[in-house]
Amino acid sequence: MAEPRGSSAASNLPQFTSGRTAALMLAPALLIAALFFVVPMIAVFVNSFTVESGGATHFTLSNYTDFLSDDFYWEIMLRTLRISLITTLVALMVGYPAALYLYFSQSRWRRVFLFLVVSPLFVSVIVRTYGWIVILSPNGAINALLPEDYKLSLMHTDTAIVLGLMHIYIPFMVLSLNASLVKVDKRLLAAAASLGASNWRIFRDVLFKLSLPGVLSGSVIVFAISMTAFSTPVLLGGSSRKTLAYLVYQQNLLLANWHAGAAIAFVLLAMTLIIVKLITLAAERGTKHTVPQ
Amino acid sequence: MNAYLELDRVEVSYGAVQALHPLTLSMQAGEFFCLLGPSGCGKTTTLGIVAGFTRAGGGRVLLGGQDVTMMPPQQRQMGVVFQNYALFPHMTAAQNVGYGLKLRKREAADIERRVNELLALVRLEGKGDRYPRQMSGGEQQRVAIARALAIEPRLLLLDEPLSNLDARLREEMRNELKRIQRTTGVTTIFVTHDQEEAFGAADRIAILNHGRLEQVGTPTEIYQSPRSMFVANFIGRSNALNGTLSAPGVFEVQGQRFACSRPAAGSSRSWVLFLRPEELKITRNPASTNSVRGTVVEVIYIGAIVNMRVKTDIGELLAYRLGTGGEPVAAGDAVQVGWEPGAGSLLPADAHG
Repeated sequence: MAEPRGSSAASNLPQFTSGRTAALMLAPALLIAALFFVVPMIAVFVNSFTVESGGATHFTLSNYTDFLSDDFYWEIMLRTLRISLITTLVALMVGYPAALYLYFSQSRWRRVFLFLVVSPLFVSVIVRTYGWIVILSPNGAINALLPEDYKLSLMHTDTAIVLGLMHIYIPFMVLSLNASLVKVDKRLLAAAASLGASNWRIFRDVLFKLSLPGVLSGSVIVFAISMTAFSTPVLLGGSSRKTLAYLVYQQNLLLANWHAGAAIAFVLLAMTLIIVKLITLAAERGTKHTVPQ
Repeated sequence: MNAYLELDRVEVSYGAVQALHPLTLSMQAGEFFCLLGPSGCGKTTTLGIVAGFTRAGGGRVLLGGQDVTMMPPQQRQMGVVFQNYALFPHMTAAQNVGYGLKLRKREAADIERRVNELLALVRLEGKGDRYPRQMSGGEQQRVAIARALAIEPRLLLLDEPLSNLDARLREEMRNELKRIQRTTGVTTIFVTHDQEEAFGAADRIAILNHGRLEQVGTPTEIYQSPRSMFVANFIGRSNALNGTLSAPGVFEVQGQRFACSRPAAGSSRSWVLFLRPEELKITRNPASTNSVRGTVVEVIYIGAIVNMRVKTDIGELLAYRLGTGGEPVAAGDAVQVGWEPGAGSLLPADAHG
């Protein structure tokens, strides 16, 4: 039978996957990863379990216990988590309709729209964040439009941080969703319609289910980079709205306490990985059968 | 007899391109109807109009006397089988088949019973819990048919359903389709570019070209009496002889005169006589009313039939004859090519196509 899929015949085409070629091609990337990621990670990890006293280095858990027993740090941890989750959710809710538009659009303006969506990525994060300060500050654009007794105090709030992060990270969400949606054959939608599915059911039962891999990857990306965002929370949140990334910076660079800084960095990494795992598990049931063959 | 489905001067244009010129067609209940034509002829557009996926730019679609022109596809209750099957990849075969019933809020036990019935009808018993990607092309095809039939469709619409299957499976599935159609009695429209598929399955065939209807008829009518140059060229193989009707009953080709009893209407001065290869007789001595001398160029033995190309004064002619019996003929032999006055179809040369 001439079934085209699953052909296991050995290919004579150039593959570049034979031992020596593959090793040569991977070498530069592996070298960079080892030197600038694996080795420093090990160093930081060791640092987080040690203290220096009297010129000697001792093993200790105090970097972690000190951090985790302090309510002030817990408040910052929970704020970081809350801001990242809200940013992810808002980015998903704002990004999904935009991705849907891109999926359905036949317009010749589609590319222009796609460019607009990713355009925040072309501006430096500092410039973007200062833009938000201009809008949100007490004498900024929003308050200029509001009557005298209704001025809002938007700067240095969680809302300001979420706005700033969302603005930068929506492109990542839209691009992830778009990558997943474009793989959905529009004939599936026509098939569902012919079977009697309303537009809502077509979306719920077919389009959304098949876009779950994009929802998953977009959410994971936005969540992870929101957790570790530095300049936006610092500039828009100020000293009263610190996040974990700022604490890491503070301990390492302002207080030169490398050991405490390392511990906080690992707490941040652990939190991010746990939530990413939870998001993945939640989405897994829906995506189990949607991976194209 | 009242038609079950009527297309009344339906037309479609995409911008400046007229995809479908005003088309009028009618189908009887229970009919297996085929839309046949080359790619871009408007057959899939026509199917889209019937299914409700494509909006008609003009005209009406009547189903059982009801005007459904503006009705959304959700309400038309038509089963559609797509060329690539369009099975929901995240649902099992049974879930695919049961989806339309689930949307109709039927009870779970009821759905299960009906799904099993349909899987049995398409001979997929016990494979309901497989996902489409775990099934072969032929099996996916059967699931798609079962899914379309599950909603007890008022029409079954098949868009090139066999073109993704390999040759052997294609014939098997064509017979399956006929069997299923007879069992269920559902009125079926089948779109294809493959005339063998169309002839093998359909009760009646409509031939489309460049968004225009060329001819509607049974396979026999279309093969034996093509009404346009396009149909005569598109369907089967033909020898086209360009000539004139120099006198009543006389067809003249390059100075040679042949008897012709084919009625010809119209004012055209030049005509084309289409002779099917099986209407030509190859003999050593003149044996037919009309005969031309020629030399055999090539003999191809296919099995059931033998193809012969013969070079004659009026051009190279293709003739078929059965693979068994008859005088042996080889390349280089001098032969006579003959045909009867009633053979072939005579069409005016300026007919479009």
